Amino acid sequence: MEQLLFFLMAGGMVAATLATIFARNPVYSAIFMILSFAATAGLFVMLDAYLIAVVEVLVYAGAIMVLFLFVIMLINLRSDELEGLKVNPLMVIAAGTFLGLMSKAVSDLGPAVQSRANDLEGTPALVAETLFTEYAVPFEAVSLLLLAAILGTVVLARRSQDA
Amino acid sequence: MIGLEHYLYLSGVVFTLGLCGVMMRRNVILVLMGVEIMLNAANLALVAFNKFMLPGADGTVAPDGQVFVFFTIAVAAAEVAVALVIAVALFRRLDTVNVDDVANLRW
Amino acid sequence: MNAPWLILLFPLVSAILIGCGLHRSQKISAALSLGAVWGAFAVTASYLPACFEHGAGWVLTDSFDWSATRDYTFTYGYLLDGLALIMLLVVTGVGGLIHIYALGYMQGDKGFARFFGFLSLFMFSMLGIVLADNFFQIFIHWELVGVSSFLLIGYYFEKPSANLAANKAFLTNRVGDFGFLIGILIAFYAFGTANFAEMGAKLTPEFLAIPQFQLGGAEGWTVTNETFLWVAGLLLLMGVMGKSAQFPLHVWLPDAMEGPTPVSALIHAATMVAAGVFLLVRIFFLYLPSDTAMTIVACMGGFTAFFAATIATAQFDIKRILAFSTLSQLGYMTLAIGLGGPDVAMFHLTNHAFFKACLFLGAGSVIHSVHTNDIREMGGLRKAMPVTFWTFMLSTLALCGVPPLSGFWSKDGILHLTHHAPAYATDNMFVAVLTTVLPTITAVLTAYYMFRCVILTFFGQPRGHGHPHESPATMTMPMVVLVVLAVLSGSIVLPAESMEFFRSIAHPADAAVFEPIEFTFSTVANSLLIVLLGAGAAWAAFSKGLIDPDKVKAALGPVYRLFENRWYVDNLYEWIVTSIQQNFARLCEFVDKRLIIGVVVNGAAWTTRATGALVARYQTGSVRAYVLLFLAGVAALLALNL
Repeated sequence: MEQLLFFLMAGGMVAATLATIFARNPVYSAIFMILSFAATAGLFVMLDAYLIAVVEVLVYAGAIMVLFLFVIMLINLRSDELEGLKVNPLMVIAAGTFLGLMSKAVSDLGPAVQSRANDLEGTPALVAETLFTEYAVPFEAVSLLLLAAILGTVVLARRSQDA
Repeated sequence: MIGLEHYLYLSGVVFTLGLCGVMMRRNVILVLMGVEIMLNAANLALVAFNKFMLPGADGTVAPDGQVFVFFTIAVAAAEVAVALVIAVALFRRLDTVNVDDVANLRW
Repeated sequence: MNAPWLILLFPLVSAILIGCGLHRSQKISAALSLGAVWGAFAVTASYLPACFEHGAGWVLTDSFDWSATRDYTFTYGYLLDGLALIMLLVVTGVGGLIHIYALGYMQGDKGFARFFGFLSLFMFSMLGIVLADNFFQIFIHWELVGVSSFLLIGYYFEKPSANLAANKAFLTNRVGDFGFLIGILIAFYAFGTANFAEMGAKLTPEFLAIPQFQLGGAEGWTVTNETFLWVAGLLLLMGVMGKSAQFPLHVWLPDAMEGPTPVSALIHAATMVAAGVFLLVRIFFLYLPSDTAMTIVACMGGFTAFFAATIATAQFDIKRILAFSTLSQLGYMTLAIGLGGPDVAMFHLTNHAFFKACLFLGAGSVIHSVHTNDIREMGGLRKAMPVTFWTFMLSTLALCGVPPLSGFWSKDGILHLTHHAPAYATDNMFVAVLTTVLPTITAVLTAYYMFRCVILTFFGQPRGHGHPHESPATMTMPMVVLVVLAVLSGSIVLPAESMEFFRSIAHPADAAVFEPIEFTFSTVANSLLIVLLGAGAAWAAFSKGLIDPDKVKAALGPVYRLFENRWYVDNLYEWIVTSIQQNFARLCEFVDKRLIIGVVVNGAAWTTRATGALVARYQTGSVRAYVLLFLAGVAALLALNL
């Protein structure tokens, strides 16, 4: 059952990601990306990371995707500008090499890695406790980062209107 | 039995696919999507590592990996917001979102 | 109430206020400056009764911490004793009179307010030297005096010659101050304090014998505090040479006459140049233990006195004659200190301040009237400018030492000192000539050049153009006051008592005491003989034509040319600067521009630029290429770690 679910989700994630990359229309890409993230959220649930799964759906599938779609609509590309991939053999070689090296790295982990899962459950209470005690300072730093992003966005958007 | 290596292989494949998207697409929005996919793949690896992490001396496991993911998502959200505004500004000014047409930032 | 602070505060506040806006109003600026100097005078004078009452032991002192380091706290304070008080009276009194004179002299000048601002700044700096209770404070004010002197000499900054003179004065003083600072540091090192009172208290025979370090192994030369002190003393003497314009750093003073005449009178006759002598008296205790140091001080003074007097005989610029005369008189004072008579030196300093300031003011009055500095173009001014003539004449007599005018008491005190010189000054033939024979000759020369100046300026037929006229009251009044002081300062109090007072304030208890000169027939005759000799020669040459000056000139030949060209000292310095220093500078320039800048600095820049040009090729602006390169880097890292 667990294996079935994993391969279902994994297959869905890879397929959705492929579709995201290869779709000619950006709107389709965005839709497929939501699918990919949904599959990821499912995998998070399998890994007992409940809070992260919910956040993933809310932030990525909800907020970020809406932003993407909104911008795609705003830019409103003409159909002749829709284009597919521009593949260069060098890129394929590079990607292949990278994938090979990653696989080698994972396989090299071997028996050093514990293959049995622990009983950690990523409930909001547990994650929040760690987040607000041990990681309080980075948490505040992230809030500053978000503030900077908000201001940067406003400034950039205004300046583009002036031009 | 599904182990850590399954998740890591999956993460690696998805990461490489995102990389291909960044390299091969010319639409700046698609490039951004590729970046998001790469980040997501890394998130998956982090959560998986957390799940298969050895318990500490007191027998408990801290959700450090999940906290990292939390931060990654926050950073990604900020990044997307700024990057998309740049894309919009780019479009307004140069009437294009093709990264090959925007090569002014060079020596 | 610490009223002595007010003495410093008045001129400082005045200078700051004038500098910060009040200069817009000429009247307010002048009034403020005058009020400051006379205010300082009033505060000083209020201490006079207390000083007379308590005599030598009278001292007021106070200080505050200025800058604290781990090992030493620098303080800023005042040390008001009889010596400082008499100097303060001279500085503020003569200074105040010259301020009044400047009201008339500078009338209508467009920098009128600026001039008074600078004068106040100068007064602050000078009073700081007089009141200072430690070496570092003296050094600060020493430099401040240098700056204000620079500003005042270069007051007519549109004139290139004034700018050059100001630079010359400043740079020459820098040479002296360099040694001065090192001397201060050595003394500070030896004593562990810079405070004069603490230094004086520490100075005992045991202290002098403390060894500091050993040269050349155990058998070598043990350098004790005694050695330290006379080395420090000689270096400090360099500072004195600069400020008091002693040979060989005297070259700036004659050029400094480019400044307005009140400045010449104030700075270059009465106060600033006296600072060096004052300092020598203040730190006399440092010199006293060492015969070597005393001998050098005496020789320097004796030589400067003679040297400057010879030059003064061959000059035609009235202010330059007075400038060289000042040099000569300062030489006398230094000589007196070197011979163990700081009290006589202070006495002469005070008297000299009066009559020399008066002479300068008289010269200023003449220049103001005939618009030239050259005494060959004057003559016959006696009738047109009676007040100026009489004050000038009386001051000249005082300077020459005609009894019973003030100059007689102090100058003959110095000559008396030379005739009863300590053993260290008479043992060596060469030193004996410098310290005992030359001063007497100098006295004759003094009478000669001063009467030459008076005769050419005020007697004979007018040789100038235009119509000379007497100066306004603001200018003549200070001259009259000064001449009264010059006449009486030696004898208003009985000379013996006056000497007693100066001895009590300036003379260390354990120094050899010489007898005050008596007003006897022989001293009077002696002095008159000297004056008559000099004055008679001048009279014969320039008034009666008994001797033709040109024939004397021809007969003296190279000697006269030596005097006329100021012993070629300026030429020597010029040669040193143009041929040695300039070539050295060129070498430095080559090392700097070619080797350091050319090879090292530009080489580094060129390497960076070349590297940049090479690397910049890979900045194509294409996102795709960047990703590819980035990927290659990550892959390489992964591959390295596997």
